[in-house]
Amino acid sequence: MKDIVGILKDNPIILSVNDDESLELAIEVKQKL
Amino acid sequence: MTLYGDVVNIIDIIEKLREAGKIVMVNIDLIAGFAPKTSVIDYIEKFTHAEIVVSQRASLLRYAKDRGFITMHRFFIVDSHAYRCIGKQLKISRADLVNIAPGWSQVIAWAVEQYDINVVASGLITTLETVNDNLKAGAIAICSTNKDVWKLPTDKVRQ
Repeated sequence: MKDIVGILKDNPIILSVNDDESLELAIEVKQKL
Repeated sequence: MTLYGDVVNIIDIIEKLREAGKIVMVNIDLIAGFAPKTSVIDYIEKFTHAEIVVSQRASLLRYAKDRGFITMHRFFIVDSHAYRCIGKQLKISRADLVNIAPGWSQVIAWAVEQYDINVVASGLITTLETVNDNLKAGAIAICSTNKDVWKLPTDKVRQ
């Protein structure tokens, strides 16, 4: 749990995907979440 | 975080994100074809490698937590009544993270102060200013479907 909080603090923008297009775009972005 | 999918394709969606090196959060309330039953958690556990389960349903989150998932409890704060329900619901879910929508920085600040929890803000966060307002209010992160937000320069976030 501490790990995920640390990762979120280091990566404060979580990519939310809501269709196939955004899924493909998110895959291209270097973000952990 | 995946906010879409159905019983047919959710495994592939999660696997694609995993293959891209992502930590996968899955909002089980938004998967078409799933009933709000604990069997959904069993399904996600058995057939995917998602790490984080997101839901508005306290009892499902409690079950997911007991199964070893990291959990995020999602709340839509539309009025003071909805806000006051947070504490009661969290006692049931014991969620690891709380997702509060929409991303009104004042509500985020209240929740962080009152409940001493890790808050992720979301909803109507469309600019660098609103991202940073929410982070300054105490959110540990924000989540967004907005591609312009995804592209924000990381050195400007948390400024």
